[in-house]
Amino acid sequence: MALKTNIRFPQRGGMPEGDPANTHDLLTQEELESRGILFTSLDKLFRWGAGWSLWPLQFGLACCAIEMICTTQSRFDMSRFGYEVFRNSPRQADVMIVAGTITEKMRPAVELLYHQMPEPKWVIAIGSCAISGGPFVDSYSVVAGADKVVPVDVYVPGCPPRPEAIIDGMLQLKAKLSHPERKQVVRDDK
Amino acid sequence: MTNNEVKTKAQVAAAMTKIAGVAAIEGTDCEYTVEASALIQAAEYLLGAGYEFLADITAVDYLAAGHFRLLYQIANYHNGDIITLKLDIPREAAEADSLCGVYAAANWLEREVYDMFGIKFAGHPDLRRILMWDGYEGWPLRKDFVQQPNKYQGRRRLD
Amino acid sequence: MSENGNAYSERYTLNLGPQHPSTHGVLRIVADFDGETCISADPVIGYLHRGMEKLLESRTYPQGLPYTDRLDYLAGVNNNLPLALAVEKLLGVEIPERASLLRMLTCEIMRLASYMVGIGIYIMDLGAVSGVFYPFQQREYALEVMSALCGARMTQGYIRFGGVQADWNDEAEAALDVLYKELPPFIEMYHKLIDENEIFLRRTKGVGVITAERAKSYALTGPNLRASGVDYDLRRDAPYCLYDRFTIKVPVQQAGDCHARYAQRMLEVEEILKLIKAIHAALKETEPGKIMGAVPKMLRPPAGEAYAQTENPKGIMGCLVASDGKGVNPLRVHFRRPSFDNIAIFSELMPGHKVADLIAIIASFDIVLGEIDG
Repeated sequence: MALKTNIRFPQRGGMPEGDPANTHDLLTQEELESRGILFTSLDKLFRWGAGWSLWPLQFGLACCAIEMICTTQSRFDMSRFGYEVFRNSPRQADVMIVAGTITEKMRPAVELLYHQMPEPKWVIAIGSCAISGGPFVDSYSVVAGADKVVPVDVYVPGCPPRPEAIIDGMLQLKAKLSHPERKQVVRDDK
Repeated sequence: MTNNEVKTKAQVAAAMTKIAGVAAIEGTDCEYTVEASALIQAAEYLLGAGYEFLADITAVDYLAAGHFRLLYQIANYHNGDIITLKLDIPREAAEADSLCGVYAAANWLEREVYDMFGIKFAGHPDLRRILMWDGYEGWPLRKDFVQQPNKYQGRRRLD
Repeated sequence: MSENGNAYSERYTLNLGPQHPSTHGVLRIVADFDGETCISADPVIGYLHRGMEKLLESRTYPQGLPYTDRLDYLAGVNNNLPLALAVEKLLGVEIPERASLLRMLTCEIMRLASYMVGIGIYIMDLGAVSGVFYPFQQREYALEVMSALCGARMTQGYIRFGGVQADWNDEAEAALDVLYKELPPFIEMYHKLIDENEIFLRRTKGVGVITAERAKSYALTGPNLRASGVDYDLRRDAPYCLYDRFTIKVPVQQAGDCHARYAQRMLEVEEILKLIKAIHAALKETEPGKIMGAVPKMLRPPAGEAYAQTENPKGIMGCLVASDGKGVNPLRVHFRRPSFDNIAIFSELMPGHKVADLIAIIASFDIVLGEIDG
C-alpha cells in the first residue's frame, strides 16, 4: 500500500519552504521499509503482537478437548502459531477455547470464567456441541451452543474437528484480530 | 476367593429358588424376579456364593404397565456368569431397600437411579442427586418427564 | 492445634475443579483439609451430563449408535461394541467372522490409543510435561490406522449392528506397519525415561493403596482392578466376539498403589501389541468382503431386556437395552460405565493423603468424564 509521507530533509539554514507536495521530497512506505523504517500505529502493533501470542485458557470440556490436546502435541504443534502456553488461571489467559458440550450444570462456571478473564479477550468455539448444541441439542441438560453464554469470535465445525481445522480456526482468530474493520474474515496469510 | 468357591449357575438356581420371594424366570438360567422383601437376602446369598461384583443397578420405566423395574446385574470375578435380579415396584410408591450394606458399589449406582427416576432406597447413607444439581426438580428418565424450557436450550424433541 | 498435636494448622475446604488442569475433564472434588492432609473428599460429577440415555430413547437404534462414541471418547469403537452386542442378542443375528475380527482389531488399536493418553496425561499431571509428547505420538500412529480404515480419527462409529462399516484396505495395512515399527522402541525408551525416576517413584509408591477386597466391593474393573491383585479380564475369562481364539496374557500387580497402576498399564501395552499382531494375522486369512450380517433395514428387536459386557480400556462397560417390541426406538438404553464405578472409591481413598497425592490418585485412575457423566 503506498502511503505518502511528509518527510522533509532539513537543509542548512532550516526547513525548506515551499509546496509540501514536492514529490521529490516524499518517499513511499515501501521505500522507507526497504531502508529499514517501519510505520504503523500503536493499535496495529498491539494487534499484531496479540495475534501472534494468544494464550488460551485450559478449558477442555469433552471430546473436542482431546483433539485440542492433540493439536498441542508434537505432530500438529500449535505453539508455533503463538498459542504457546495454556494458562490454568483465567486471569492470565486471552482466549477461551470452548471445546465440548456446555451443560446446564457447567454453564455458571463458563460464565464466571469468561468474566474473570481480563480484556482484551476472545472466544473460539470448537466442535458442533459448542457451536449449537450438536447432537445433544434436544437434551434436557445441554446448553444449545456456547454463544448462548459467551460471545463467540470463531466457530470451528466438526465432531470433533481435525487438528488441522482447529489450527485453521486459530489462524482465523489471528486474521480477525489484525482486521477488526472486516465483518467476516477470510483468512489471508498475513 | 478361588474359582472353586464360585458357585455355578445351577447351584445358584437351586439355592435361590429356596429363598421366599425369589422366582426363576422361564427360559433363562440366570435371571430371577425378586420381591422387595427378599432383595437383601438374595444379594447376601450371592455375595457368599462368590458373586462379588455388583456390575450394575438400573431401572426401566414401564409407564404403560404402571411400574418401574429395577435390574441388578451381579457377576463374579472369575467367569462370565451374570445373575440378573428383577424387582418390580409401583410408580406411586417407588421405594426399595439399599444394597449399600452388601456391596460398596451400590452407593453411587443407587444415587444415579434416584437422580434419574426418583426411586428412594431405604438405608442408603447419602441419598442425594449425583448427575443433576441439588436444586433440580424432576426425574429426567421417567417417561412422563416434561422438560423445563429455558433460554439456553435449543429445539425441543419431536414427540 | 491440629489433630496430630505437633503444629498449628488450619482446617479449610478446597474445591478442585471443575476447571482444573489435572482433573481429566470437568470433575470437581470438594475436599476438606487439615493443613495439607485431606480429611474428607467428595467427588461432584454431572458437569458433562448430556442426557445420552434419554436421547437414545428418541432415536432409532442406528441413529443412537454414534452417540456411544462420545462416552469414552478416547477409544471410540470400544463403546459401540456393548450396544451392538446387546441389540444383536435381542435380534439374534449372526456376525460374519471377518466382521468380528475387524471389530476386535479396531477395539485393540483404540485401546492402545486410550492407554497412550492415560499414561501420558498421568506423567504430565505429576509434573513431567515432556513425558506426554511421546505417548501422544504413538497415539497418532494408531489414529492414522483408524483414519485410513473408516475416515475418522476419534469418534468413529465404525461398529454397526450386524458387522462393521468398512472393510480393511491397503492404506490401513500400511499405517499398521508403521505402528508395528514405531511402538516397540517407544516402549523401551519410555521405560528408561520413567521407571527409575526418583521423583516419580517417591510420588507414586505407597500412594492411594487399594486392597483387593475394597476393589472388589467397589466394583472396580479394568487396569485399576488388576493393579490391586485381582486377576480378571473379560477378554480371557468371559470372551465375546472371537476372543476365545487367541491366548491373552493378563498381567497383574499386587501393590494396588499409584505406581502399580502405571506399571500395569505399561505391561498391558505390550500385550495389546501382541494381540493386535495375532488378530491381524487371523484377519488376513479371511476373505475380504463379508463385513455385515443379515440385518433388516429398520431394526425392531423383539420385546425383552438384554445386557452385554465388554472389556474397555477403562474397565468393564456394559449396556442394557430394553425393547418393547413395537417401535423403532429403544424403550431404555443404559450404560454401565467403568469410570463411574471407579471413582466412587475416592471418598474412601483420598482421606489421609496430601494435596499433591490427590492429583496422583486421580491421574493414576485414568478416568474420562464423558463416561462418568454419560
